Parts: sequence; structure tokens; C-alpha cells
Amino acid sequence: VGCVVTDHGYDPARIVALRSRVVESIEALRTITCSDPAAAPALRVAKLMCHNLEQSWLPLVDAIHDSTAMSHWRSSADLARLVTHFGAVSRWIPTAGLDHLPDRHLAEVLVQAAVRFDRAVVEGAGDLTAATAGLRRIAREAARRLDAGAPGSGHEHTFAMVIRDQIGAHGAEQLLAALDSSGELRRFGDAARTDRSTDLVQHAVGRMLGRLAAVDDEVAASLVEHVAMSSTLADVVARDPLSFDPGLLAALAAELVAHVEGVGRWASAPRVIDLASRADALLELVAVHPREALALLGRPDVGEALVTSTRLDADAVEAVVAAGLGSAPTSSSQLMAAGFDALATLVELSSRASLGPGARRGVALAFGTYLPAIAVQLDPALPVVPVLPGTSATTVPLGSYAEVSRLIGQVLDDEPAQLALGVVIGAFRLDQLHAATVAIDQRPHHAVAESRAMLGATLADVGRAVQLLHDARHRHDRLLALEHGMAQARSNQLVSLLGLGVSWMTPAGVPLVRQINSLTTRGLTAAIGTSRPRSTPVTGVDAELAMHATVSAAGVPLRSPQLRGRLGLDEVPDALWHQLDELVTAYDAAADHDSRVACHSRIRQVLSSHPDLDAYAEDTRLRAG
Amino acid sequence: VDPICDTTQPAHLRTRARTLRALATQLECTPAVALAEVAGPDTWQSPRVEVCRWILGANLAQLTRAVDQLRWTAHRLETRATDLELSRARSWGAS
Repeated sequence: VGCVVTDHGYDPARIVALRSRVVESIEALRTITCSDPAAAPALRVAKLMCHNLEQSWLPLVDAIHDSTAMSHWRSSADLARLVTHFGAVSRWIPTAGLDHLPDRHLAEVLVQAAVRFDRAVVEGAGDLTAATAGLRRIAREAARRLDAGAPGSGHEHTFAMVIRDQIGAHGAEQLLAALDSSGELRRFGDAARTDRSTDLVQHAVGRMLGRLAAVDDEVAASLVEHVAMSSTLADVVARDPLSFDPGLLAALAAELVAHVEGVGRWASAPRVIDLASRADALLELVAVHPREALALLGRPDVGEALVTSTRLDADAVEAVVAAGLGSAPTSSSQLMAAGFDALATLVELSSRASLGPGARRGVALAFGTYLPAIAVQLDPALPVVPVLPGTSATTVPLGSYAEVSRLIGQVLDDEPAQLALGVVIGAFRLDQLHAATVAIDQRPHHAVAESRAMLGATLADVGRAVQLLHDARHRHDRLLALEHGMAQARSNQLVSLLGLGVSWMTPAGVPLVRQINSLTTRGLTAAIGTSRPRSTPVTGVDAELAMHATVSAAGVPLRSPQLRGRLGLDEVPDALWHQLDELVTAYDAAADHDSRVACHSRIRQVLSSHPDLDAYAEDTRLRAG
Repeated sequence: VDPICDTTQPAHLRTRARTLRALATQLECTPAVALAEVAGPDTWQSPRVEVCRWILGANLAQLTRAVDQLRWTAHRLETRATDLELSRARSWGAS
């Protein structure tokens, strides 16, 4: 095979061959007999050799042969091919040189090493350097055996289960104690001497605890109980999150949030240390798992504390809220109802508490996930009830129109959130126009009036959504960021924005409006927020909406010539379409409000210059409300 | 007289010599002798493996010495058998 051997380890294919040779050697030596008295010394040597092979070689070969790494290797290798083409699937598996220890024995030694290390740090008992090196070596070997099985192979928990059976929850607590001691050593010890050693110890022990928690609820509960009191656990989790189950990550984050905000079991317990930064780090990790983020938002006390917090980092909270409210239902439609429940909780909460900036921004980014379902029936006189096409599930009202607009009002109070909400509305308009274009194209049997009604209805949905925002904010002169977001969310701009930040969790074919939850308000502000005019007098959302409606209506037959006949515009000369094309392009490219107003006026003039175009524009304006 | 040659039957001595030579050959060809070839550093490497290799090396050295001893003993048995046969032939010739 010609492996370059640089460290301890073994070649699994050669180990298989070696084991059969050892067994064969032992059996051959056992069969050697001779009755001649002169053969006695030679027979003693053969017997001694057989004994040594049985007592030294075979246990070591068996320990390696039966290890989880070898089990995994055997399950992934074709043994028949292995036998006929020795070495063909061979590779070098590195070890910590402790192969002779069977899994159960290693588990015991690990706990003993953890206790010895803990005593050396806390009580000054024994040689700390030796104890650190010992624990590091054993923990590395244990971590190696944990890593032997790839996720999904069925072997990944084998060693963890052996350890759990061998050391139990008590052993896990001793590992946790060693982890804390390593943290103390790192903080107060000789940095030059201990940093790397303690890093390696923490990495290996942390990984071990994560894997143990995955197979033992008691260990998981113990970690959650200790995370706020441990000096090191949260940092270790943040450094190596892949070793911890997403559900456990969320539980650990929830415990830290409860500590920071003084809720749950921390409501009356003394809290001395500020754990906000540790909570932030774990919240960022939870945001990578939308389902867990949604569950975290739904936790009693903690969910409310999270969205109203002013102590936690706004970016971390935004990430969790956007992931839970937006990415979770986007990645799995089965979570849509749970998402609406969480949104309804926020609607109710907004009437009695002020949301934190992170929560406001998260809601803004995720709002597009819910907009298509609520825009259809938005009416100030009625409760807001989601309409989910294709589902028969009963949905509960989000709240009254006033309550929903109160939540939106809080969101609009935050400028980055306002900008994001503007982008959401712009994306919603693009989605609706695209859907209307496709619907009209697929219904050639429709009369002109029906096609225009279809287009008008989609524009009306956009109009109702904008009206909700309009009603949510009494000081409309402070909606500059919203208008800017809407204006900037033009097709090309939005697609490039989403192209930069869209998450791998978003399934293909998801409407633009539901992809925005994978962006961040910080990213949006950096990309388009800086161009926002700060002192330009505005004419209000109504005027902006009217302009968007006019341009959108003109854009449908302009961009889709096959629909012109269906919309009663086949008599319009090409010259006028060319003129409109230039003006709509200029409108889309306009950098400021005044330029857009100027373009809009000229578009209105062109539309009025032909009776069919004029009638079309008026018809869609009326149908759009 | 050497105890291992304490017999007056040359045929018996030669039978013993053949047995000892066969045993020496059997020991020389036992699979354990070739074990080191498949247990080198490209197969495995660790402190415990080094201990195993050292034990095997010591046993192989002992085995080599034992094989030599077996063949030396067989040679002596054969020599003794030849001496006995010559001695008997001489005594028959004289009578």
C-alpha cells in the first residue's frame, strides 16, 4: 500500500489480514507436539510463543479489529474485493496509541483521567502537566473513536452508548467538572504552558459530552442545568457546535436566555455573571436550524423574553426570529401552522410589550412568508385570518386588523426593519405580477375583462398589504426607509440581493417574498440602505403605491407581448410600446424619488395618448382598489 | 554417556534424530515465524505494538536457538548411531 506512516494508527485492511495470521499462528503452535525428551526445550519455546501471541498480540489485534472505526470501515468496504485485492480499499486510520484499550476500558480510564485532572487543578494534587497530558491523550482517543462512524452510518453513537453504559450520568458530571477545571486553568493558569493543552482537552471532552447527550436524556438535561453555571460549557459548545444535537443547542440557548432575562427558574434566583454574549453565540447557532428556532420562539417565558430583550444582541435575535418565523415554514410547509401560531403570539405580545430591535427586524424579514396568505382578505373591519390555498387545515386568526397593524407599527419604528419590510412588499408585488402573467397566459379562453380583473385582483392584494403598513404608522413622513425598500426591490436588484444571501435551506421555486428571510437587515442596509435619501420630502405611501401600481400595470403587457391581445391592447402601435419600454426602464433605474415621479408623469402621458392604453390603465387602477 | 544418547539401538537413535529434525523443520515453518512480515509499521503503529514486536522478536530468537539445538541433538544421535553400528561391525569381524 505504501502508506507514509507519520503517527500512531493502523491500516484496517492489513489489520484484517494480520488477525487471521495471528489466529493461524496460535493454532499452528498449539498443534506442535513431540514425545522425545530432547524436544522439551523447543516445545517450551513454542508454548511460550503461543502464550505471548494469545496474551499480547491477539487482544491488541482484537481491540482494533472490533473497534467502531473498524466496524464502520468493514461496513463500507467490500470484503470480497478486499480479500482478492488486498490493500485496494486500504487507508491509514490514525490513533492516539491506545488501541489496546477496549471501548469499555477506555471509558473507565477516561473518567479516571478526568477526575485526576480535576483534582490536580482544584486541589493541586499530583502533577498537573502529567494529568493534563493524560486526559488529553485519552480524550483524543475517545474522540477519535467517536468520529469513527460517519453521520448516518449507524455507528456514530455506538461508542457513546458504550461510554454511557459504562460511566453513566455520574461519569458525565465528572467530565463536565474536568471541563470547568480546564476553563479555570485557561483563565488563571500559565497561559504559555496550558493554552494548547486545555484547548485540546476541552475540544475532546466537549465532543464527548455532546455525543453522550445525544444518546442519554439524563446527560442532556444535566448539560442544560449546568450551562448557566459552567464557566466553560457554553464556549465549548460555541466552538464545536457540530458535536451537539440541534435540539440540545436550542435547549442550552434557551437556558442562557432565561438566565440573561431572569425568567423561568432564574426569575428569583441570584444572577451574578452576565451571560448575554454566551447566549448570543448559541442563538446564532440555533438560527442555523430553523425548526429549532421556531420551537425556541414557542417556548413559554423564553420565547417572550427573547423577542422583547434589549440585552441580547439584536443580530442574534434577528437571526433566530427570521429563521423560526420565515425559514422554518419555507423549508417545510408542515410548519406553516406553527409559524402562524408564533406570529399570532407576537401580535398579541405587541399590544402589551415592546419588541426588541432584533425581533422587529426578524419579523420584517419573515413577514413575506405570511403576506400571500393574509393579503387576500385584509380588511380593517375584520380579523386577519390566513388563507392557505390547497390546505383544509383550520387556521386561527392572527388577531384583529388593529392588533396586526400594531405589530407592524412596532416593526416600522425600527429603520432597518422598515427597509426590510419595504423590500418584502416590493418582492410581493413582483411575485403577484408574475403569478398574474402566468395565470392570464394559461387561460386563453378568458375575455379581456376577465384577464384585466385577474391582473387587478393581484394588484389589489399588493394594495391591501401596503395599506396595512400605511395604517400601522401614523407618522407617514417617517416611512422613508419603507418607500426606499419598496423602490429598490425591483426585479434585477432583488434577484441579485437574493443571489448573494439566499440560504441553502430555501427550496427551489420558492417565491421571492419567501426568500427574503434568508437575508439580514444588516446586509440589506449595507447593500441598499446607504442610498436612501434622508431629507427628500415625500408625498406618502399612497402616492408611491399609485406610481408602483401604474408602472406595474403597464409593465405586464410591455414585458409579455403575448398577453397584449388578452388585455385588449393589440391595437396599440409598436412605437408607443417602445416609448413605454424606455420610460419603465428609466423608472426602475431611478435613484431618487423625484426622478421616479418625473418618469411616472411621462408614463401617464403615454398611457393617456392611446384610448386602449388609457382604458386599460383606468380599469386596472379601479380593480386594484 | 550423554543421557539423550542413552540407548544401544542405532535404529532407535536414528528414529529419534528424524523426529527432532522434523520438529525443527515444523518450528521453522510455523506461521508465527512470518508474522513480523505482516505486522510492520505500515500495518500498525503504537507504543503497545512496539511491545508486541519486541516480545515476538525475543521469541523468534529463542525459537531459532531451539531449532539449532534440535538439529545439533539430531546430529549427535545420528553420530552415536553410526559409532554403535561401526563398533558392532568391528566386533562381528573380529569374531
